[in-house]
Amino acid sequence: MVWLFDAVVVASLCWLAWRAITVRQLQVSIMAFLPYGLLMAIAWARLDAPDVAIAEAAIGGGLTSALLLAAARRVHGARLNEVPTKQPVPRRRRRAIAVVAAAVAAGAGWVVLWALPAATPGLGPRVDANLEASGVENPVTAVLLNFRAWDTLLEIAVLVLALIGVGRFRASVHDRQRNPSEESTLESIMLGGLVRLFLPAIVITGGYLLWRGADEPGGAFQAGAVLAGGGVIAVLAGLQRPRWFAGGAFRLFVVVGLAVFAAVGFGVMALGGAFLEYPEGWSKQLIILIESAATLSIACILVALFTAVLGTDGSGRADRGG
Amino acid sequence: MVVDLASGFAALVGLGFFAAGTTGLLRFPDLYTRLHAITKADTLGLGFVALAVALQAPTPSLALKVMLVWLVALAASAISCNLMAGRALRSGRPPLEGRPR
Repeated sequence: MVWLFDAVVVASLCWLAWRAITVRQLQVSIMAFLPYGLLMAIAWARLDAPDVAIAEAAIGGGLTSALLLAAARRVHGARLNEVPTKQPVPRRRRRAIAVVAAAVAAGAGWVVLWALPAATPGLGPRVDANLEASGVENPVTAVLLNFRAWDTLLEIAVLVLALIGVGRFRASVHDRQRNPSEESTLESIMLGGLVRLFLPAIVITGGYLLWRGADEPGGAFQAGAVLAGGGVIAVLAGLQRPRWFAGGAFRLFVVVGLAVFAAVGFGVMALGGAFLEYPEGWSKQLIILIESAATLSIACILVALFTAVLGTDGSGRADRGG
Repeated sequence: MVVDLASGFAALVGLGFFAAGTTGLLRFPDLYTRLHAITKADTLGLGFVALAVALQAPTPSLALKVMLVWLVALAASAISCNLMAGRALRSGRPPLEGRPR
């Protein structure tokens, strides 16, 4: 019976992906993308990849959709729900793009299914063989924070660069203006109450994912994404002023992950190792130090990206131009 | 055996509520009645499904976690229903009155 469940998940994924691409209203398209992310998380869990599943549920299902909606509202404002009357791209060119994209996808699928050797052990056995030396018991964390820590360092650097690229630090920040006619007091009490109820649970979940990440699925990215989700709903409920996200303390949080990571990397060089080559017996402590700092940075960067895209004037409209 | 029967019964009742909620979502005439259908019937259905799963849980703590999921969904759906309905009402969408055609 499990195959039936898998078939329903796969069919729903294909249908949602098709809807997200083909539907003409932007908001409907984003609303198809949100459950797509959640179903992807279920698919990853079914593929025995719980680390990816948690990250996908928090980032793909939650944060990306919030970012897309905020961006769409900022660009299109009240016209978000309208069906565009004008074709943005001529029909003939769209057909050409579709043919090229389908050919690329078919080629890639052919390579994966038939051209590559069927059964390779991959790097799994080598990871398992060296797991003891990594200082952690979760092979995914061992790869991310020890064997390929260099990649993870660069990923966090990319996040910091993305935030700088969005112009977070230069953007003019307005406090969220609450329009009393737009939201009744009862509703803001309900929303604020709900967020106050959920936030402690979210913080505990984030801390749990970070702490258990050494031995079980979880880790800095999952914990950071869950905490960022909490930050996003706090901003939306008006509990946290967006102005805080441009302050000095916040900038410190944004860079602390990268700074600690790099400091550890160079620090172990001073002790005679290579870059990010943890001294024997210190792996676990250093990994937890890096992951804790990285969790804080990832959470802060993701929330800051959201507030930057939201425009933070509260009306959801672009604050300049259109 | 008794637990299996109770669990299966709860799952069936839950599915019934889900079916009713989904029918309402598809067939009801306006946003308010549709919201009513999916936030109330589905949440109750989720409660029965969670109960069915909790009865099958190997440890009590796992059963409590499953019921916690339901409590979170209960709070979220009740409040998001209110928020959506309130926003729709203020944006000038009156609820349908009288018999729908």
